[in-house]
Amino acid sequence: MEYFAPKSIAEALSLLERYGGEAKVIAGGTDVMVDIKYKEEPGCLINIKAIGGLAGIKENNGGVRIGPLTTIRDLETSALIRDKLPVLWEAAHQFASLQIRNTATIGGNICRASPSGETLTPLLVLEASGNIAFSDKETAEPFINFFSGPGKTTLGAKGLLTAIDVPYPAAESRGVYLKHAVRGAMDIAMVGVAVLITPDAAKKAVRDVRIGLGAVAPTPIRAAKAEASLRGKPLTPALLKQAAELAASEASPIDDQRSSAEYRRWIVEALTRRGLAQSWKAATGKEAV
Amino acid sequence: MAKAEFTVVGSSPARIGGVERVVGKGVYGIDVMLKDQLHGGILRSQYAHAKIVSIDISEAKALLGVHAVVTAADAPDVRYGRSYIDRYILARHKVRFMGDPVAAVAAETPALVKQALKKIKVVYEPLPVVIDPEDAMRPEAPTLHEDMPLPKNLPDGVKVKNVCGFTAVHVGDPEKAMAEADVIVEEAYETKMIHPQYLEPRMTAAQVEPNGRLTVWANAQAPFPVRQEVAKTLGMPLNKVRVISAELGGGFGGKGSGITSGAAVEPICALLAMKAKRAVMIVLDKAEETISTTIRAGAKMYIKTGVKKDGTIVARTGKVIYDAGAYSGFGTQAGGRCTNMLGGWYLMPNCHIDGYVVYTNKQVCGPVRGPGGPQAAFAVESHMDSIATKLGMDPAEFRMKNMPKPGDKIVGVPKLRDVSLGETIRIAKEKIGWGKVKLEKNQGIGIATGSWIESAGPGGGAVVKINEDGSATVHIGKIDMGTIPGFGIPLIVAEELGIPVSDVTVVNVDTDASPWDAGTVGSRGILVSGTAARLAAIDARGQIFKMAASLLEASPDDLEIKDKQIRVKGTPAKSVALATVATNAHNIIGEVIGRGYCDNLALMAEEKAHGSSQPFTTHACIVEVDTDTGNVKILKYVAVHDIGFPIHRAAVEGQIEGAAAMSIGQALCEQVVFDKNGRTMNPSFVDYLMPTINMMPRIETTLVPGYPGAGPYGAKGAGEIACVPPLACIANAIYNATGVRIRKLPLSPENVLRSLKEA
Ligand SMILES: Cc1cc2nc3c(=O)[nH]c(=O)nc-3n(C[C@H](O)[C@H](O)[C@H](O)COP(=O)(O)OP(=O)(O)OC[C@H]3O[C@@H](n4cnc5c(N)ncnc54)[C@H](O)[C@@H]3O)c2cc1C
Repeated sequence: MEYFAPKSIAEALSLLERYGGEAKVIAGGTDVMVDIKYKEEPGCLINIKAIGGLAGIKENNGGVRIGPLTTIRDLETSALIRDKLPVLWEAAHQFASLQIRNTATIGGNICRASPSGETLTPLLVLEASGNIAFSDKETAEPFINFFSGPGKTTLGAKGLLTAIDVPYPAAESRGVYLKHAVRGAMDIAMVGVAVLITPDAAKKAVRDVRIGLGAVAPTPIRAAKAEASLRGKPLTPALLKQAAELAASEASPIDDQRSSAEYRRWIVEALTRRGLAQSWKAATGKEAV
Repeated sequence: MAKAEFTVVGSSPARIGGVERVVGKGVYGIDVMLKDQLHGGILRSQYAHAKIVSIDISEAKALLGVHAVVTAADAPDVRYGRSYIDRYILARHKVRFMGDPVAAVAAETPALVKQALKKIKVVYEPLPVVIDPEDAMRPEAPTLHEDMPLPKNLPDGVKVKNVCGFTAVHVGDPEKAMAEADVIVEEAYETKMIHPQYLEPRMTAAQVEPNGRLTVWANAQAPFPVRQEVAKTLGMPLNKVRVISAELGGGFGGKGSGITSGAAVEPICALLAMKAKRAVMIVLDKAEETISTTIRAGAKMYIKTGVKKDGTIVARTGKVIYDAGAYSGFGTQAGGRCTNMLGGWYLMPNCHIDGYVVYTNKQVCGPVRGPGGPQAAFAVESHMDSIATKLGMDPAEFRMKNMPKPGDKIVGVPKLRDVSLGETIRIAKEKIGWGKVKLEKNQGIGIATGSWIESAGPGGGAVVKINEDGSATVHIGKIDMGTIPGFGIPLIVAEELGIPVSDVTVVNVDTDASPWDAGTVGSRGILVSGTAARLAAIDARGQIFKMAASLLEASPDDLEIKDKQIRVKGTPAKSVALATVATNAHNIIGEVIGRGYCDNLALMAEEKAHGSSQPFTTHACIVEVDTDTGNVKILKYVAVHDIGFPIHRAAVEGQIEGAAAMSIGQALCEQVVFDKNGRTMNPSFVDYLMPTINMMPRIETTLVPGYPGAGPYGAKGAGEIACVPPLACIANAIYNATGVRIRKLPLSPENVLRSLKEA
């Protein structure tokens, strides 16, 4: 296995261009090293950690720009993230152990494109986008279009994620990230649900709502039907329940050794219901009635 | 016996060897490095059941840096096993589970080993696979062992298959009694396979010495059985094999059954070393460990009990189907224990239980901590609550109603000398706030009891040598895995010799030097080695007193020893230093050597005459059930135990907490998951869910004094019994919280939610 530690994005991109499918980018390595041990070794490893300027959290016209090498722990300890993007903060907080949070990067979490990746559903409900670079082009891609399957993204074999842009949600909005796993943060999520809700000025009806579902489809998804069923309507318990059931029907989970598909749907229903109720209460100071 | 009578036993000094472990010094087997040592690895079956058509090792052998490739053809045609001699060290003719060793390689580097293993070409002819033991018993099931007969003691007319052990419990006339019962409750319970998941992986190293003897290093709980089985399977005389115990980073019974535990990793490594003519070390990785080594078997238990309206139990019948796995392993013994324990530890005037131990295409059953006990207690103690509910009786009161008294018998114990069970229930109720604590919505309280019957078993010896300065070197046959060598033994020897605990060294097991022992298993450490070490220390002290007597011009009977000084009782001025006498001894007889034994026959005779005092326990807990997700949180957990006199109190409490935690894991989340082909789906710590500390309640332990056992100073074994009650204790609390009785483990969020939805 060959090993490179490029000093610049350009250098990394030209290595990716040259080695293509054989190359593996490594950031924190908490996924890559496990794969090397238990699956196949890649032909060459491109360590991007020596590239300057790829870590950090900065305010950036109406949002936050996060460098892909920013660790999960950096997100968790950032006052800015906690204050302005609490849904993302909550995901970072419920992410594995402290040792893993110290090592794992948000870029790695995104590019790994695991359906259960903790930060992905928050990024979807925050309508964030990634800055994606190839040796010959660079684009800004909303994450809703970025994931194409488990472990698959529009980066293909030759792209690099160079920045993550998260616009601030409406000031009146509130949200939560709920993770379900047998052992809490220490486990890979069986189901992850991110909810962001914005009430209207009277705090009566739902102006906007976004629901992200993790670990229940080949990619993290938005529960579009559930969202549509709520928009513009006063949030009653019956509506809330119905939306949660819709979300469960939008999920397409699988049976695996962690749980059955049926159970995952039950949890999507339960967590969506809880997430909506909690967010609504946080946003309006009232229970859904 | 009151603690005040003793100087050190009953106290809790720091574990000898504890600091080295905590700071990560190289104390474990994997740290052994032999001259010119090669790395070894094992090729494991990728079918759960198949004929081996051919094995081609030519490509693997040809790799540069590969020094040996072995298959069954390189080993004698000899099988091993305990009740059934049904297993080869390397599969011959057939493989019977995914993980069955087929071939092995020794090479210069671990990477080369991997590469060589991939180049071994095995042609299999797949056979039908059977995963469920109940299916395996049916006439149409595939035959796992063509040449293994059914157990001789099977009742006439029973049509079964693949059965490798049968145990029957018969007391009184259960049919007649059942007919006279007012209330009958009949249920079925099931537990799943769990792996003991000690953190330290299994290792072994082997080297052929210039004189032709074979030295094997093993992190085994039973080095002498390993020696015996290595010699047997390799066709060597016993005295040509030496097994040295490497320190253990946990075993929990998973390393306790000779070479069975590690699927013959020790003789396979030795075979490689013989062929390569170099030292070889094998270290298993986690996945390999989980799929190939011994486990706690799953059991299906049918239980039916008849009671009178007032709560008096009149009869029980039942059936146990115990999963042995691909080979008999420890299945017959563990399944037998489970069958006996299904009879409970209350008064049981009439009882009939049949226990079948059955081959399946899975990992092999080992003596994992309290083998058979947690399974049986899950059924028995859940069932007790079901009966109490049907009677409209308080579950604790129902248990008290059927409490044995001194002199009574219970299933498996002909005569009880005294019975602490009732007192453990009383204390547990008090500690948990039974009937007093206010429970919120979805909270529930549960109680469950347990026993771990101690009875006959192999004895063992001890040697205590007194060094020139009066310090002592102790040889016993039991290894150290957080058990007696670092805790109880030094205290016992220090107590009897009047020396500080730090003056006692307990030597790790070396079969060339240590007294024979069956292994650190069965809660027998303190009983066997504790008794032997105490008697050996007393023997050494007697010899010392004899020598001191002439110096002090007194009778040996009038001497005592304290703080390393030998004194004439009542005349403290007349004294001589232990070191002086010990040094003198070296000029006369070399050194004082004390010997002691735990004599099994003597123990049995004593029990026959006066009855036995068994350990008993009651656990109680409060849980909260999330009815949206099925998640169960334990809010409070108390463990009340009679383990006789606690020689090292903190060690005993540690054993109780550890064993309870182990079963709480089995209760809430652990299980080895299979697909229909017999492949283990969760062989890593990511997917095999052991509980983490954030799931664990504080385990509040209470030790009940006043019921001395057969061990030294009245000690009883304490390593396993706390595994027995937690499964039912938690299930009972869930029932109390939700009104739903769950009869199948684990009580995982999914199973709990499913049960709630189905109720
Ligand atoms: C014990 C343990 C527990 C875990 N628990 C969790 C958990 O609770 N929640 C969770 O979501 N995950 C968990 N993970 C998975 C893992 O830690 C995360 O996915 C992590 O965010 C990956 O980040 P990394 O920097 O370590 O990525 P790496 O392993 O370095 O890379 C991951 C993938 O991303 C690619 N990559 C990385 N950076 C870039 C980039 N800038 N551009 C293009 N491609 C890139 C790599 O090629 C690779 O395919 C756990 C892992 C372990 C070992």
